[in-house]
Amino acid sequence: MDKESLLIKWLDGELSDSELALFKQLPEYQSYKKLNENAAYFKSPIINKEKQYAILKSRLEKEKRLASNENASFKILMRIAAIFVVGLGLYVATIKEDLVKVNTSIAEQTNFSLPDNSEIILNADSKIKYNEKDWEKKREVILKGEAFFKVAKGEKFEVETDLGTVTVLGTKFNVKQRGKLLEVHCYEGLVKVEVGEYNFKLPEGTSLRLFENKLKKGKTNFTNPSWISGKTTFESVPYYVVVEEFERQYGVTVVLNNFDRQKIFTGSFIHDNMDLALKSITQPFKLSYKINKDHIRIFKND
Amino acid sequence: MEKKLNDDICDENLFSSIYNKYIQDLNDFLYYKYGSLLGPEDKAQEAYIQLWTNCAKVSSDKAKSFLFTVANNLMLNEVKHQKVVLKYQEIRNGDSDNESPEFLLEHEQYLQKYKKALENLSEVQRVAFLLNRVEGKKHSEIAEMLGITLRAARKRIYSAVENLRKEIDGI
Repeated sequence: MDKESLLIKWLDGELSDSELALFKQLPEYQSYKKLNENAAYFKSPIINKEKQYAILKSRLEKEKRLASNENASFKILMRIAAIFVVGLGLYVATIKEDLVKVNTSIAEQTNFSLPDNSEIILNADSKIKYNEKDWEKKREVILKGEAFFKVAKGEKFEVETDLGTVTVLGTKFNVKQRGKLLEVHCYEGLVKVEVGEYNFKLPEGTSLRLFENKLKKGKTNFTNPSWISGKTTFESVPYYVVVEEFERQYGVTVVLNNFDRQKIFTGSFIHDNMDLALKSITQPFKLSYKINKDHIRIFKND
Repeated sequence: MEKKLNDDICDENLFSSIYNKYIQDLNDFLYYKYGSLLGPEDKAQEAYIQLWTNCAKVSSDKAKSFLFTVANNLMLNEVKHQKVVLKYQEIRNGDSDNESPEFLLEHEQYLQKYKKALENLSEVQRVAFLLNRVEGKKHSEIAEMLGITLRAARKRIYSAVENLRKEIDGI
């Protein structure tokens, strides 16, 4: 066997004992041995696989984010384009008068379905507008007053009010906008409320109130708003809000005498018994009331 | 031929298993071929990033050659005739303090020569030799890793040993 084959076999660890003895007799053997013994000094660093993989992953995520940012700017362009399209659409829609309007007057509630079978119950003295023709493209209603929504699952559903926009995907929620008060209760699913530049997400069982530019988050333990079952409930609202709601539900005028309209009230009144309702909103403050021909007077006894 | 279930590697579990399988080999390959100065670890990572970016186009059986080719190209872009620099590490033996200063000096000089000789080898010879002697890979494994025949792998290793011996012994 020649030197080359011996060396190759040695290098691949395949020498037999007799071949090894031959190999050891080669004049170059000491040099080979030394080369072999010292090769370990040139070992490459051992990679900490876990650590390096974690670094790699964070780099990959960074690149993904960059890529999605590019997408985002494209989306903004699309959004701008969409505003033009929607604007044009609205313009055309108004001309064609595809807008459906549902109104309730004082002391009236109404119940109706939207084209996708979403249900709306509209409380007293409230207005809803929506575009029936474009409903499949855009689920959007404009609300003034108070309404309870049971939204069929689907694309986003928007409720626009003067104070903010409420967006959902498919859920049960109540929106109340009276004067400077916006109150949203979410009974099922998830609701997004946009007020100016702020966004709030309301999960199931929570509520949000915006009153005179102050925001308050709260909890809702019920599955439906109380007004649907003939009762209006208040939590920490100024007394005049209660009085106004009372006027709406009973179709009366209330005159408040000798009492601070801003006093905070928590409680409820029923819709089908005015006497009882009056008692429940006057007794907590030890107020009296008198039912006159054309108005009701609530006053403080001295 | 049977159809492969995983036609691409865009699955994170699959990707991480490919990572664990080849990262050390890839790093060794780059390190032994181009030395330590050009950042072999960075190039290896970079190759994996490109693999992920192209994951939809690369099947798992092509992943290894993709990684080695990309990493090699990344290195070549940077090399531009830079001199290869290898490092040798301090390997401490428990009984090293028993050794005489003369021995230590002589040993240091030997390693210097060894290092220089390695740097003077051609890239292909150096890679094959170090994978064999340092990483303890069989000739057949090296052939598979580098995508060459067994004969070619043996030729490279053999030539490397002879060149090293001649240079170190000053023949």
